[in-house]
Amino acid sequence: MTDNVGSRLERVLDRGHFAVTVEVGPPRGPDPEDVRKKAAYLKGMADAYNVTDNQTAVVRMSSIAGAKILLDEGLEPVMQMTVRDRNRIAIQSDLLGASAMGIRNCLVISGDHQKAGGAGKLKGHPGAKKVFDIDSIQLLAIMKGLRDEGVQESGDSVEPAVPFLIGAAWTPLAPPESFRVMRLSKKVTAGADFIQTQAVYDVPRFAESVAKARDMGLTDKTAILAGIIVPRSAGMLKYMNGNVPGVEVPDELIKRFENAKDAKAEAVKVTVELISAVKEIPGIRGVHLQAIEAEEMIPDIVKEAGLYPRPEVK
Amino acid sequence: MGHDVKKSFTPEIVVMYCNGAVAEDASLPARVETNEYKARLVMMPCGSKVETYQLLDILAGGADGIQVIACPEKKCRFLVGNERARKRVEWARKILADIDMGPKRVGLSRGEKLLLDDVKSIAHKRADEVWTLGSNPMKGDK
Amino acid sequence: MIIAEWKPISEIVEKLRGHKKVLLVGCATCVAECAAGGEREVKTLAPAVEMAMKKDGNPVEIITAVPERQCEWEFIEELADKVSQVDAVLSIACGIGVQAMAERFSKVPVYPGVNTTSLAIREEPGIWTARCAACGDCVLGETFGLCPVARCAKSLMNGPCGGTRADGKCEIDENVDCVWYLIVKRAEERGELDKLAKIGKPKDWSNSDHGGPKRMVREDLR
Repeated sequence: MTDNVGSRLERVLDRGHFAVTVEVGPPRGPDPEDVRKKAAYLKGMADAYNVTDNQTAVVRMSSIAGAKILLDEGLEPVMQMTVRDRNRIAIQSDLLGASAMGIRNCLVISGDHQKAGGAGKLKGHPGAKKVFDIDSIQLLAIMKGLRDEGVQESGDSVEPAVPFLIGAAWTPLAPPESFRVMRLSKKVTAGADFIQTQAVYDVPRFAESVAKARDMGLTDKTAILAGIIVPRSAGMLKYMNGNVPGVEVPDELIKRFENAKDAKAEAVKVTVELISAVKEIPGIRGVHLQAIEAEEMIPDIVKEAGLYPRPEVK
Repeated sequence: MGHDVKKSFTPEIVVMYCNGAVAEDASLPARVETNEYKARLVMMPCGSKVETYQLLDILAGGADGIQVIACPEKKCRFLVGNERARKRVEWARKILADIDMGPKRVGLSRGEKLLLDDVKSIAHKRADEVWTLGSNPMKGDK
Repeated sequence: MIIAEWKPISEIVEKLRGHKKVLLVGCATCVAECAAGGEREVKTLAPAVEMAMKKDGNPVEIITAVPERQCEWEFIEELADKVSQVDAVLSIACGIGVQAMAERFSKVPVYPGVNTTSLAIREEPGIWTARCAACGDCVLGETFGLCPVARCAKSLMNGPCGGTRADGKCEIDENVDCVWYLIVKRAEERGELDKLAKIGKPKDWSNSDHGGPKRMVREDLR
């Protein structure tokens, strides 16, 4: 854990508040208004806002650009950086550029394989050349080197050092489960200050993994934010249960949506329940909310969960 | 039918039959000619002997179609021979589709204790399939 | 072995248009092992291409050859006579063989009839899977003999990513194993899971084609 990179998220966590981060999906186009519109109704709802990096390998406005637009609107961005499309030269360069523009949080992930882009309705770019020059854990170490020692991966220096709050992802329930906590410890050793997990629906199962992380001392070294994807329908939950690795949805939850008269109201209700439930897990320091293609639902959720207003931390 | 009516022709079929599929006293001739088709009957010691390249060679040589006759599944004297025959016929059909020659120029059927009339009936069916595909453009080359 | 697969015959037809006599040349080593360019495949592709070219309105005569290895100068030298009889060569050996033919017989166009795809093993009859990516910096000693470069879709050194399916397969293909799942399982079998706690450093890719076209020299053999 670090102090003093100049990140609001860092200050919130440092002062022991239950943090809220929200995901913002950038547009499939170059119009900054698309991002500003979302910024307008999300402002004040979270401590920081993740801007995804070509999620599902679909070309969207870059995370760094989306993050800068949010910053200009007064929101604290969390830039996301996959290792799928950029080699270590481009990545380190982008980190210097992002820092120059005032971005202070970066979440590092492997990234969906480029084949994913063509798996849905879009054509995507499944024929794109693979990069994966480094992996996410190596990138965490590189970012730590840039920040704490002012060195690049090569050992060459950077001047001055590069301030970032460093984030990583965790999917505790994907196989092989026996290794997932150990892999989390590698991320923490490498430099992860905070963690955002894959979507939680089965809270007891998730709590078991968090307990193991706690036993290893990891929850003292890193702030784990439980990932929550707002469930919108039984169909969506069934799909995720069967198709998204590491996502397990209890039958009762699916049934609730099958029987729900008002799906939207149920979505808010269930999300708020999940937030309250994960809040009770020792070691969980916040939530990472994702309302995919439906960010307008976030304000109601944050308010009903009793997480509004966000704390003042200067 | 919509497509241009091909010039009428008498399909030339090659029947490759497994020795074990015909009756012991079947005594099949080497050729059969009717108004509907002309067939060359070739005996194989086992259905597994058929190779994809043989099927394609025969078609490249001008035959309009080929019918492979193998023993029923699980009754191959050499155990898996007729399964191999099926896969090789399938590969030939795949290639024929890829080059737009018509996969149905080649077929596989199974039988046991077949007599000449049975074989003729099978040949006739293949000839009918092949007739819709038209005369083999390779005719007259070799 | 190096594995390859037939190009769509329509692609071959496009290239052979205008040629009258073609040498279809296979290879009795790697591509024979993977059923793409051996004796049987040459015998199968020849009539297929003949028929396709005839249908295309550009009939072609095909002669064939299957040298022991198409990447050895002394073996392809034996093809000189046949090459002199044709106006094009269609090679269904791997890219190395195609180039060897093109270099030795540079006056005649040499076209590839296959796409070379990988360094693979035949797992069982009819199934070949990639095993080596020729990365020039072998880490098999750290990953219990399972290659994360060739067999992980993301070539992670510190896998698995979050995309391992419930049955241990890779997120990109239900038939492809998540190799990191296999690595963890093998480590557990040996009671050495703790070895995977070590963080694998970024690879030096420069000893492979990433560092430029590879040139290996052994002075003692020159």
